[in-house]
Amino acid sequence: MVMRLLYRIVFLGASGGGIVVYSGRPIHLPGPFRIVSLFGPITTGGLWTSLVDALPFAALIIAFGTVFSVVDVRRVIAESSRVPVGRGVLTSIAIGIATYPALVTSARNIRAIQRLRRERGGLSVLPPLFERTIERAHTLGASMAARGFARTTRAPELNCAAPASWTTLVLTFPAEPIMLHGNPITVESLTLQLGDVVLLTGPTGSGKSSLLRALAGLHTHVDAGLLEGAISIGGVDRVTTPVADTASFLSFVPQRVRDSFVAGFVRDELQFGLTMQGMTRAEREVRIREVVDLLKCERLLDQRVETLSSGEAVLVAIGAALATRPTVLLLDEPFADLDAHQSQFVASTLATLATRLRMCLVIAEHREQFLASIATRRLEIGAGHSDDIAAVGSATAAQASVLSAERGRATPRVQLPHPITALTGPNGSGKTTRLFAMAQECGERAALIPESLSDFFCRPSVRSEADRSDKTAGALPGTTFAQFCRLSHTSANEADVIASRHPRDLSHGQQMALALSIGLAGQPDVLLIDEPTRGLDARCRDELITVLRETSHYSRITMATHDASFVTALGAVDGSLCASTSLVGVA
Amino acid sequence: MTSLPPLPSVPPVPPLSALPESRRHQSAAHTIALVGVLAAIASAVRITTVGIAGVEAVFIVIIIGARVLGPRLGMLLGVATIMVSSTITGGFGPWTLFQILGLGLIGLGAGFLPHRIAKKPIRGWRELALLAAYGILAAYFFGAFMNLWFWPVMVGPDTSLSFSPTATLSENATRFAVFTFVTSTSTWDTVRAVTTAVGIALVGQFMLRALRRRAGH
Repeated sequence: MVMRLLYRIVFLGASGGGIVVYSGRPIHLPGPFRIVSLFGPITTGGLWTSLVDALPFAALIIAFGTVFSVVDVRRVIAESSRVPVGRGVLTSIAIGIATYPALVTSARNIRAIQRLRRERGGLSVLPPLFERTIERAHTLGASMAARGFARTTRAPELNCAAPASWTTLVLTFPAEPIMLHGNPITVESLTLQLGDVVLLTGPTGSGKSSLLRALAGLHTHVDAGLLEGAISIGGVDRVTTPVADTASFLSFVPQRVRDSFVAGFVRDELQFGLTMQGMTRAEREVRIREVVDLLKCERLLDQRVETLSSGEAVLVAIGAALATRPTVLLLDEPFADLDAHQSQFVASTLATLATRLRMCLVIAEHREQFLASIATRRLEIGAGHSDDIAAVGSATAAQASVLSAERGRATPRVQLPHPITALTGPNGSGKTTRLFAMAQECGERAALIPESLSDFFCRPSVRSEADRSDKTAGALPGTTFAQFCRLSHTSANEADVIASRHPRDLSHGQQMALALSIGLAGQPDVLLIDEPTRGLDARCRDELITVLRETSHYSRITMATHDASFVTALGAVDGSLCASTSLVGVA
Repeated sequence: MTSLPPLPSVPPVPPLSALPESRRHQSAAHTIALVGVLAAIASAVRITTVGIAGVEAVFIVIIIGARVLGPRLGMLLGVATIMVSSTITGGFGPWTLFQILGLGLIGLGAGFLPHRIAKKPIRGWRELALLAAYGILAAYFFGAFMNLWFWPVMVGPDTSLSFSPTATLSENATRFAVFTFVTSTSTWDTVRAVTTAVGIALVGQFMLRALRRRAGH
């Protein structure tokens, strides 16, 4: 309104009846602007008219504001994803809105992590954030396709009697791999029966995830990978059938589930797959109730997905996968983020589904102790053979190992100069929060290695990342890279290839090694590690134990973990170390 | 009538579905997801920078995104960005439609920028220069375009700058040009153009690389 008044005063619009406030001669501009005149006479009547004329315009803006304060645009857009016309635009918008809070959170996290790495703020926050977002788009796209987004109208009829089978497979990635798997992955042939629980084992990076992604169709359709051999899902050929067309038959729970969340709220996340199948609201409600009762997570229903802890996020992802009542369920390291209690619970729930509903499960997992009792078959990738397991025997073995773990913890003795402290506690008890708070307190003398390792990296190659680290830490050139090679068992002739790779293209173990070497380069007083064993196999865990023991000579270590057996092992490797492993429960 | 040189004619505007896609084969779900998260980034940028006078870093994301995604998805990105940011801030109003059109057109245009000149691909600093130049144009265009909607209502009738139904087209155009120049081009839009160009020069390279790494170029 004020602007309008100003404009009118300047541009000859405030003349009219009433008292003359200012009587000037209009100024005429020269040249092409000669039709424009400035500063004419101003009268009270003219000013009044200016204000009154502006009222409808102001009213329009207020009306818009009122309408949109009542209408929940998010709801409208979420619901409209079922409309066939313009679904792409609306879904994009819905995803944008759903992603936004997570984006803000991850920007904040990256900022915090970078501050601890002594990176200056500002622009350096952008590369990891942007990379992460694009990565998320990739994961999200895969997740949406696997859950039935953009199904073809003529989806093939799938045969439940033949859930899944494959011939000997060779999985490869083209010349420029998205993930680091230089070597082709060979998988033994297998035919699954209904009710089978297959445990996929193998060292980190051996191709467990690739096999699961191949079964879900993502390896060939999304990751641009190549496949020799044939996979049959429900009697149809995997390679020729689009990912989305098997969505109601096969569900896939990927690693890092958080990135695969499509919706902003848990309820919408659970029903995304159902919506894609065109179910009515009532039908969806019934299914959600079913899943929530099964997984005992009703309290999560109305939460925003970014407020979930890592463990809760896994539960929600499993719930979303189960909601469509799949015949085949693929799980990629579901227990990595679950505490012992929840792992036990999820394992028994899955076992029930397999025996009662004859659901067919394929699970890749390092933490075998929870699955040993329920697995009916074991497929080792890398070694390449499958065994049938006598379930009863392994269950006892698993229990025994847990017991011995309990006993190992009970005999503490103090010896080491620098103690290794483990923050333990159930999922959602605030371990990570505590760790970040500690990092903030310690300031310069702390190095924090976050759970999402990729947030840690902000340079386009391993080499530049290591050089950067040497510089910020004031270490001798090459310190970080040499340390990285030691930790990741990279031989001299491999080193050059690895050095030119993008940190995000490394395997999880290699990423951890790089992050640890960066952390160690500054010779910090305290090294804070969030969930160090996530996704590591037995061999890598042993290596990590060696590294951490070595590190404890230079720096105190505090780690947040729910992996009790790792904590015990860390203590059990060396009697003297066992002592200093104090367990701090976080309430 | 043997070999006529190709006419430098303006091609007719094709229907949206026929616009070229500069991406290799990617599933529909992927495309939609990528546009969605880019719109979220652009919205974050828009919301955090809108308070600073004239700085609208959102153009940087839109232009670079559209460069990799192509005209159709570039336009979709512009549209989605306004929708997402308006939903988050609750900033819907009569101007929303103009913002959608304006940013959509900027995305569309960026998608149409040439990828090669005389069979030499435009990459590296040349590409950044091209995008930065386009960014400057886009900033002024957007400013003028946004003025268009409130020019008639903001000023009201009967001033020397008002839209006048009786005046000729050129006269009205002059009035609008002056209005735009005085109110935005000389001030906000110039700041905006400069920040956009500088921003593209600073972060363009890594953003393009990151997008292309995933999009498979």
